[in-house]
Amino acid sequence: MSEIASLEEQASEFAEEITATVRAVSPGCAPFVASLVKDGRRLAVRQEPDTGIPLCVGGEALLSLKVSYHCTWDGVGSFLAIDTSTVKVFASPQSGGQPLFRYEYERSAHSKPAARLHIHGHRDSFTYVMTRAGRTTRQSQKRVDQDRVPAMQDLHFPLGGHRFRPCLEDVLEMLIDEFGIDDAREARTVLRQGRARWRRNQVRSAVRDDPESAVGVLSALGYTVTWDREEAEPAVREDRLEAP
Amino acid sequence: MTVLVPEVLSRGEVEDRLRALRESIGDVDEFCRRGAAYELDAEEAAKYDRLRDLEFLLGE
Repeated sequence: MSEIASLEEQASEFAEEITATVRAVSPGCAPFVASLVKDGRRLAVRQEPDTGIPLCVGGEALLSLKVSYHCTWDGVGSFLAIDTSTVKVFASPQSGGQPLFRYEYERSAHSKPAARLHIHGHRDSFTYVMTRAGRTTRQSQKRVDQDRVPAMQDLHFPLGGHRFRPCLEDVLEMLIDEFGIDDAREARTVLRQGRARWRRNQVRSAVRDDPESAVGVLSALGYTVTWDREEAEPAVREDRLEAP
Repeated sequence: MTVLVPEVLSRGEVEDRLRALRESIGDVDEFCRRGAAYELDAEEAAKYDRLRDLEFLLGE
């Protein structure tokens, strides 16, 4: 298979996957469009309409969603790697102006976290949206039952689930970077070492959650991995992988 | 699942699109400043995103 054909295949598969994902909340929305340069190594993936996908509550458009990805071939040469991804949510049926919030990933980030959440919306924007939110979920019903004006702190922004959540070191380094808090001379080193320790532990836990994928990756890297115990191989912990 | 066919462009086509887009924008620097500051309306923001896509595809 030629490299470009392979890139086209992966581009197609990626666009199909994210289209299916977004259609979970916006059935019938137009598919994502993947664009690439012939004989190139870069791919841009964007939704249609490019002014945002309306998200409805009770059939009425309340929010809009804008999602985009820039990808390149991974260094290894076989997988599509995401260079940047942006997911923006706006407090109106069409995007434009300030979003309420956006999640971003930037593969080459050095002076800021590679994965991050930016809050744009003023408290009033969130209150506006929350007072018009659906009432069918446990969280939204709880807000109704509390009989008070919804507050921003009632929102639960997901941050990577059981294994990929931020650690204490992430928060402390953010306080240094963003607020210039006083720190010890060796703070960066201590925090980076602590983060590496944390992530190694999380990788071990993630492997236990999904040994099948771990075996696949190690095999692709050239290792031979075999199960040599009498009992059955450990099952993939779908509950952990699926949890927000 | 629907099969989505990627849009495969020649480098020249991407350059043409980028040139046409920049011409339609006018003051590209000011437009990009407003884009980065989230000061564009929905249509303008879509144009800004297309600009970013084309620049990325060309490695700019």
